[in-house]
Amino acid sequence: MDTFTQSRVIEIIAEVLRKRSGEVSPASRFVEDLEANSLDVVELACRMEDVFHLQIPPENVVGIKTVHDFLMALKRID
Amino acid sequence: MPPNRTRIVGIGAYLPERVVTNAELGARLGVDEAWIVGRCGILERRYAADGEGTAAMAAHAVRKAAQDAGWGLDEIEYVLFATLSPDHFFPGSGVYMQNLLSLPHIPVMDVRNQCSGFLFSMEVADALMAAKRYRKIVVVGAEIHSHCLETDETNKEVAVLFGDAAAAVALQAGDEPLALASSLHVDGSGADYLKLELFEQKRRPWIKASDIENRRHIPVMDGARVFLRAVSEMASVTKKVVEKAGINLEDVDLFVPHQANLRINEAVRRRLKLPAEKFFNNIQTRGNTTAASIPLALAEAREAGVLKKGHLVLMVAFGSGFTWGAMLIRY
Repeated sequence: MDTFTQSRVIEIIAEVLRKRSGEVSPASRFVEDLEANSLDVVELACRMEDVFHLQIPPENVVGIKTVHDFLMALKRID
Repeated sequence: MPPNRTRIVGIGAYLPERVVTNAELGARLGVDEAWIVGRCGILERRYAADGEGTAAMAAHAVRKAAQDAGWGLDEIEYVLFATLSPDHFFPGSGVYMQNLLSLPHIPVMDVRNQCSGFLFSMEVADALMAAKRYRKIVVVGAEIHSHCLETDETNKEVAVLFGDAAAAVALQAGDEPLALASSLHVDGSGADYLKLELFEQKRRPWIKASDIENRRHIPVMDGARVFLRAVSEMASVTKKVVEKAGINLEDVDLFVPHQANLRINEAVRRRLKLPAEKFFNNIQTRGNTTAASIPLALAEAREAGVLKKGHLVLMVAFGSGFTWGAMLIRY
């Protein structure tokens, strides 16, 4: 597993959701602030698996609402 | 001199006439067209007509595959019929199809492995031919989903995905097996994440009037779990089969994945670092047709000129169960 950083994760989220990096912060809510849906979050999890060479258990993905939740889900594997 | 392998010598597909666009479906589900495309990449799908059954659709596809192979229907020695949506609970749809086509009293076997049903059937057909038991086998996948999709907003995530279709391949036995390599798997711990609960044999009575009210007659799906597992297993089993065959991913001419969701297929393609032109998708106009999806994709890839004689083709599927697998063949 490669080490991930908050800034790199935010960069990937911005890229996948087609946002500017400045628009995404740990407090961002996927649905309300980033106009994403639940499948976008799942696709983001797949993208993180590819980039950081890790496997995210589905349990960690279910219930993610914010970028902070996403970072915590990754941290739980770390 | 290349080996005389068991080959696909005919392909036939049948699509019901009725096209259901996102505009029509979206209006009933209370979502706009962009919401549907954004979730799954599907623009339209086909729905069977009232009174049109799974066996009847399969019969059309089998007839076309036999014609494509240059066979008379009476030359078919065995049919494997994959479906999760049989006409009746029993008998299986295979017997109805045999009767509709007036086939001789050959064996017709019903296979229940959901989205992976076609590949599970292909491996059985290949083994029967390798054992020199039969020389001309048809494998058909046929599905009617439209009758069990509740078309209101309560089930919109599932309702947008599925379409109806049938497709078949005719296999001619050779001295060497069809599959250069294959790998099939199930993991029943995933059964609850994509299922249709009725009928429930352990209950007395096994069907209750309240089942309709409780919506147990329509499929349920945990989209996140299915998505993540599908990407993981489809990518992993693809690599496994390529390794088993002693080749590299770039040696494969065409990848023909099960068409469950364009986003799943794109995630698999990215993970395997494959070029888009080698990864065939037709879900945009067909939807997820479960057991019919791979043979339907083969038919349409050939029609589009991207599947050519002699190509190394890798077919890969993942679905309810969980079931998954891949098979590498020389077309």
